[in-house]
Formats: sequence, structure tokens, C-alpha cells
Amino acid sequence: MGRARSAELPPELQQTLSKARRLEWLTIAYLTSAVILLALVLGSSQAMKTAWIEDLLSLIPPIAFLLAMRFNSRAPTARFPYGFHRIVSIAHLCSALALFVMGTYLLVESIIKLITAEYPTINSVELFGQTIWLGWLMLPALAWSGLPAVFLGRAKITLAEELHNKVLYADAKMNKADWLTASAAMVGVVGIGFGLWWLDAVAAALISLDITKDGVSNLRRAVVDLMDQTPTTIDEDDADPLHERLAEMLRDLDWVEDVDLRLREEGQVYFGEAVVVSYDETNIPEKVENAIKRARDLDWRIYDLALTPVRELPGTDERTAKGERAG
Amino acid sequence: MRVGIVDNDPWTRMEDGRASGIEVELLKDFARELGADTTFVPGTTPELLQAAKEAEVDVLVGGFTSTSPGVSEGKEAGVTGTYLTTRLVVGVPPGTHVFDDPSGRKVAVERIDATAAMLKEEGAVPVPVEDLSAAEMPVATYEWQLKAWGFEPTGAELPEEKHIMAVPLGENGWLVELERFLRVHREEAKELLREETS
Repeated sequence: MGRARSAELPPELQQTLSKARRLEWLTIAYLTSAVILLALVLGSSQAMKTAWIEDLLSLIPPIAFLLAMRFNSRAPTARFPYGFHRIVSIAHLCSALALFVMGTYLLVESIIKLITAEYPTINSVELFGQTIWLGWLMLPALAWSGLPAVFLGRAKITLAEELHNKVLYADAKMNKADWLTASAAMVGVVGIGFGLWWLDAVAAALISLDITKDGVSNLRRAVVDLMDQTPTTIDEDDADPLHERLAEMLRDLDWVEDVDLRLREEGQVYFGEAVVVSYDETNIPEKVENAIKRARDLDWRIYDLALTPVRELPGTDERTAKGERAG
Repeated sequence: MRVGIVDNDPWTRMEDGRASGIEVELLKDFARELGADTTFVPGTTPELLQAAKEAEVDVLVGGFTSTSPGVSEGKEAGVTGTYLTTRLVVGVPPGTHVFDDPSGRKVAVERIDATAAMLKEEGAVPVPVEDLSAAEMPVATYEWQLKAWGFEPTGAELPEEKHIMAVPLGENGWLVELERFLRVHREEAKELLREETS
């Protein structure tokens, strides 16, 4: 029925997408510079190592976004009749899993360091003929890894909302929180400098807790999306009001008596089926075509809608009952 | 200043309760600079790592390099940066055939230690001998020693050895101070090595 058009986005959002792409390239370039800089001053501070790994992991979402955006708008093929939209959700799942696994690992590692009281020891380096403790050099490197990220994150979050792209959103949120990671690591390093060895492990534990938290929340969202949860808004977990708007619009059609609508997210767009009971059984094909066209005009996210006219809504009672029990 | 010392000639030696060697001389100078007295605590690497953990020694020496097991990882003790880099060369007695590839050849060493391990890595067969300078086979030693003995250096060089010392974990200020001293006295360390080995 509503067979996919090849480009997901309306013209005005195409520009937003290119902007998002540019920002993600910028993010990759910036993160690479931060990773290299931190690697140069990486000593045996656990907090520093954790911050470094977080920066490395932060590279995954922008890469996933850029890769997904290359494939998701491809026209459906005989082998993939539903198109490639879901690649966005899969990218989301992959980055979430990376965050979760790494976060847990680092958390365990820093707790072990805390329990075994492993005193972090940081060397000095020779710079311009002066011996400087590497810990002091870590501070500017950490500042570079934390501050610009905040601005990138802020810029991307608005774009993510417009594009309804959860990978971009997760990425932007991680960037926005980067200053926390950087300052925690700085506190850890300064702690070592003043002989408070445990501050390093505590800072590392906090950072890894933050990474794990990002991982868990993203993992949950990616999994429920892949399980065809009803579409949700990007920032909150609320049901997207678009579902209700679409049902309302269909119900308001003069030939429609009752509607049963279900939608699911495929990446940044929605697929779904509407079953409608009609008052009037004349000219059904024209009416259905017209209804689908109006549904698409309602919002660009309504991408692939199948509309089936029936005499009676099938199994409505059953489904509602179950839904109520679950809710 | 209490120095844990693992016997490893020419870097560290304990003879009749008296410590000597390149690293011992360096640390004596360091102590003098700090206005501290030095006592030497002989032991094995594991014993002294334990002592460092319990803050019973302040510095740990024993010709350690960036590949010394137990020390170089920085898990049991904090390690300094490289204060001296050395490289052994295989040389042949005068009048014998010079080669580039030591693999499959017997090479004389003073004893079976890290040098012997590196030779094995290159495919050579290390043979411990009493006196290297009188060996009638290829030897692995420093270039200036080869020259002094009239040996012919070959193209076979062993990997660089990066020499380090160790301090108790977490002693950051102390570590930086020691590293600063070692940086300033890099030339002295080279000088001492030449004296010790010629």
C-alpha cells in the first residue's frame, strides 16, 4: 500500500540533516584530537584512563550515525522490501551496548583499585629542559576533552529533535555531559598530586558509573524500539502525540466509523497499519488512497502506512484488554 | 634513604656488606644532594617489592630495564622513566669471519641473564664463559668493550635496554625528584657504565 519513498526527509529537513552530518564529522575530528592528546599524557591514573576510554567510546555514536545515514534512505529492494530504516535502531543498539559493557568493566576495575588500595603513580616528563609532573599536563588535556564537547552537544541536540533521530540524540547528550567526566578526572589527578590516592579511584568510579548509566538507558531505548514499541518522543519516554493525531484524523474522515491504529518506529520514521470500519462501502480504493495521502501529509515521520477497510475491527477487545492489564 | 638492592653486575653489587655499581654510585650522589644518609638493603626482587609496598625501602635498584618482569609493569612499584639506554653488540675475535645474522651461532656471555634471553630471541645460542675478553667465539657486549679487546663488531645488535629504577607505589613527589636527579645526571650514568665495564 503505502510503499516507501526513497528519501525519508522532507526538503526543509534535508538541510538539517546535512548540518547534523557536518557536526558529526566535526565531532569525530575533535574527539580524535582529544583522544590523541590524552594518550600523550596518559599515566597510571585510573580516572584519566577512564576519561580516555570514554572519549574513545564517544567516537562510536557519530560513526554509527554517519554510517546509518548512508544506508537508511536507500530504496527498498526485493530482498529488503521494508527498506533500510532500521539500521538507525541497530546503530543505536550497538553504541548502547559498547557504552554499557565498557562502563561496567571500568566500574569494576576502579572498585577493585579502591579495595586493593593500589596507589596510582605518575611519572614526570622533560619539557623545555624542565622536569614536570605528568599529572599537571593532564589537566589542560582533560579540559580540551571536556569543554568544546559541551557546545557540540548543545548544537546537536536541537538537530536530533528535529530529525527525530535517537542515535544523534544519545550522542549529543553524551557530549553535553562530557565536562562532568573531564572535571571528575581532573579532581582525581589533582588528588593524586596532593597524596589523596583514593580520589583517583573514586573519580574513575563516578565516571564509569556515568558511562554505564548512559549505556543502560540507551540500551533500553534501543531494545524497546527494536521490539516495535509504540513511537515515543525523543527526549522523554512518552508516547508520541502524533499517534493520537493520526488516529484522530482518520476517525474524522467522513466515511470512517472506527479506527484501530498501530505504529512502530523504524529508525527515524514510523511504519504502521490502520484498520478502519467504514460507513459507506462505495469507492473504497479512492478513499483509502486519499486517506493514506492525508496521513503522510500530516507529518513526514508517517512514512509507510497500510490501511485496511473492514466491516468490524478484529480482536480489538482482546488487544485493549491485554494492554490495560500490562499498563 | 633506604635503598633496596638486587645484585646485578655492573649496575648493582653487594660484596662483604658493601654496595657498589653504577646505580649505587648514582644513588649515593642523590643522597648527598639531599643531605641524606644511605643504607642498602640487599634482597631478591620479590622480597624488595614487598618491602617497597610496606614502605621499608625508598628506592629499589638492580639493573632493572623496561622489560624486567615484576618491576617494569609499575603494578608493584612505581618506576622512573628511562634514565639510560644501552645496546649490546655482538663482536667476533680478531681475524674471524664477520656476520650480520647471529641466528644459529654460539655467542659468549658472562652469565645466563637478560642478555642471554635477548640472544636466544635472535636465534643465537648463549654460552656462559669465565672471561669474555678471552673468548674464542663471538661475544655480546658493549661496543667500547669490543674496541678495547680488539674484537670486530658485527652488524648484529641486540635490542635497546631502557634502564629504570623503582620507588614505592604512590610516592609521586619522591618519584619526580628522583627522575629530575637522573635526568640531570644522565652523562654521569654513561660515564659510570664505561668505567665499570672497561
